[in-house]
Amino acid sequence: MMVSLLRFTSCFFLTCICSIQQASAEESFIRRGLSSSDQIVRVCFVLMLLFVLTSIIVVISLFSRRTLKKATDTKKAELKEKFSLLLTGIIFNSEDEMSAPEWKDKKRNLIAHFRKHYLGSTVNRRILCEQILLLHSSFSGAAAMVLRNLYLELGLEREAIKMLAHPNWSVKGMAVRELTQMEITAASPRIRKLQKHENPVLRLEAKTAALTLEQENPFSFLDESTTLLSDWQQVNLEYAMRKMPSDRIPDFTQWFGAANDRVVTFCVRMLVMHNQFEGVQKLIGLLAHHSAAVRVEAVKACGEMNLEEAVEALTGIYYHADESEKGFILVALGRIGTPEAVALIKQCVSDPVFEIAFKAGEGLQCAGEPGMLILRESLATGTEQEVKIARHFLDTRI
Amino acid sequence: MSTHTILIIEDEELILKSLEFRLKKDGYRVLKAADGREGLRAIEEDKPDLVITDIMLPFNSGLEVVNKVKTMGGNVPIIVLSNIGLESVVLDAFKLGADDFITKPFSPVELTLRVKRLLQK
Repeated sequence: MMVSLLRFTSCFFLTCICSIQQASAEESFIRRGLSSSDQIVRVCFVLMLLFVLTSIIVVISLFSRRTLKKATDTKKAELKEKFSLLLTGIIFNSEDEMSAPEWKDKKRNLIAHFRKHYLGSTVNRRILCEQILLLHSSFSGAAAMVLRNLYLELGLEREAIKMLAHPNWSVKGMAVRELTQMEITAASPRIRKLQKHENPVLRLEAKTAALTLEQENPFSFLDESTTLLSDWQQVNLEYAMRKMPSDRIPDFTQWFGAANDRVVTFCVRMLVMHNQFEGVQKLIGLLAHHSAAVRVEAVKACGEMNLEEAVEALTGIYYHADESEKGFILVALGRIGTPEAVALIKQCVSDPVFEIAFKAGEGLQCAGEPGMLILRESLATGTEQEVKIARHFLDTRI
Repeated sequence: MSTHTILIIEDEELILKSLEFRLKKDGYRVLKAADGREGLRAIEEDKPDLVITDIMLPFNSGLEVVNKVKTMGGNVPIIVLSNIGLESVVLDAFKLGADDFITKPFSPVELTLRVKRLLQK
């Protein structure tokens, strides 16, 4: 039975091999080499043996990997538990005991305990570091200060600085985040170099880090930025900027002449966010910028800042603008809401292009009561299109 | 020593333990829940005197917890903890009836004071 099975298998293999190699010159060689059925049986037996052995090895390795992973996970969970107890004890006890004279000795002993028992292995150090970082990101005040001091006294920042030289960009990124969170300004020169890294995520991390770590010129990356500053990057930079003290926020108009249009649009947004009204003349100047994206951003900014002095410029560019820009201008004029602005919008409600007329309706809605009055007039006496638009913007459900 | 019961709903175990440690140290009885569903169950069964909840929680969000507690008609004060300090989120929480809102990172001392103030009311 076994022999016949082997014979069948060997014939199958032979047929397969032959069919593949049929056209080649090696065909005759294979036929000659495997002509004897004993040889075929032997080859198949070896193949089967190899297959069985491979399967056993795979099963054993899978099993051992799982066991190892389970053991590591259990160890990690135990360590996390231990560290969480130690860390919570440190931060909350220290709040009361920091002023006590014996606190220094207690702290020294604690650090020695950490060093002796837990900091020997990289895995332990990473787990401890993660726990410190998590607590540090949740607590402020004395608790955060205690955690940062502990991080420094355990020398964990040295490992993070080493990680900046790691070939993997994601490891570098993690190190940048960690050093930024712990405000390790000494790492700033190394992180600055990563602002030109080929990976966009790492570049963003490095630029965001600069806002916290760079003492002299945290926004220097805007001078040198030649790559695209994506919307996502802008959102992240804006978020990081929220945590900056106001005296470190620069005058964003200094980048209005940048060659990178994305830098200019970002700076226009930042000008609005930080209410830098002293830069409005330069902002109005951007309404004549060669880039449509910059012009649109400037128009939106004029509206958001309610710049009455921009009405003339906005009215001036309106007639040369394309459809989509006209829409933004009408909404901005509505937000500003001066009688001149409302007068222009009123004309546009009857524009034959529906998109422009609709945006005029939106502008009137933004203008408040004077605009609503015009919309009500349109509803009563306007054309079919005007009535539709007026009905939409007067509907309180929308 | 106070015998007030405080329920903490927080999915991050380390933060949960830290808050538990701090509040126990202040003399409160502390109950823990790791997600919104567990939190709601604890509110119904254990009737805590104050609830501290995170916003981003598995199963039921912190805002759902606030809504549920306030529609149940009880007068349990709620402190909402959040990483998100967006105006809209804060307003939503207050509209639903949250008594206080704390943005992370926060000072544990400040939390203790706010807890004390709400329990004295």
